[in-house]
Amino acid sequence: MRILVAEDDAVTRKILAATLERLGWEVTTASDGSTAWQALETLGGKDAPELVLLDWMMPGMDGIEICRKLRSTQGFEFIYIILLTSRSEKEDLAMALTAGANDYIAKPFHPIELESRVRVGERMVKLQRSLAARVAELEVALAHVQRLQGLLPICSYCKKVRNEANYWEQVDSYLSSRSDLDFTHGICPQCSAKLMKELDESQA
Amino acid sequence: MRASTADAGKSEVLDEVALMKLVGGDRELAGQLAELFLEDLAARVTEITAAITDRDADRLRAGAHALRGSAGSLMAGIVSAAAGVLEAMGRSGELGGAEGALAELNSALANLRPRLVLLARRP
Repeated sequence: MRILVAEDDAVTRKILAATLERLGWEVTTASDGSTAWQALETLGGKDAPELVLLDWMMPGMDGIEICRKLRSTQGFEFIYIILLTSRSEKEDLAMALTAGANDYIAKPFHPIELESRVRVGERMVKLQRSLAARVAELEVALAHVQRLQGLLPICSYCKKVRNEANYWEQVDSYLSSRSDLDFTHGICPQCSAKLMKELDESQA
Repeated sequence: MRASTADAGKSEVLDEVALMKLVGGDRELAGQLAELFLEDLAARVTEITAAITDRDADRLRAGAHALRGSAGSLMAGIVSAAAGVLEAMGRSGELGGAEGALAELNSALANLRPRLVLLARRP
């Protein structure tokens, strides 16, 4: 999992990065809020971090502002955000969560707590990823199978059906183009008998 | 209850046991952290001192907050606490006892500095 650590204090930033890298995650760092935002925009798309650790108080842009921006920017809505804060008032924490943070860690942090909370984030990221993959699969499947529903006008004599463009179409081509159905063409016994009779009559 | 490393060293100049736990026993990393802290220290103290001289509460809050966080991460409990006192003064706007609190901070830093220099030099 890719993690962005945004923390203005060099000591804390280095401890965070070293701890997370030791645990096997891929870490990039930013030393203030504006740099963090630029990094997020630059790394956007496939290489974007899936989890960000944001210090609340940073020069440029604080953690709360970045939370709000991430949540209102397409493509970043699902990034898992953990806010680092030395604030402990319930109102402060409520503000952090309302701004869009998924979780918070009090500073100075404990490495076991950091690992546990990041692992929770990782589980959420994996769940999100698998849901997104499932949705994409379903979208592909839906694109292949157009839904057949409602009343379908069919000619009582030739059995052609009227499609959405108001053209009369053979029922087999109509169904083939709207489903995964493949037709094998044959002749049923009744039609076969009728055909043979017609052939005999024409040869007589 | 919060875990012990975060609480450790609150009454110590430098809780090296907690620091080593924090860095996973990596002595080199601990030395680099000490160096980083010392690099920024003079500018931070200058900023805090200037904020008190100028009676600029917001600047004092921000400067003391930064030092408190950095010292806290380094498990330098006494410096972190002394910076916390100044941060609280800055937040409240009551700078009456700021000079005394600054003297406390400088005294705590005088004890911390040589410990960090040793840590930074240690192989």
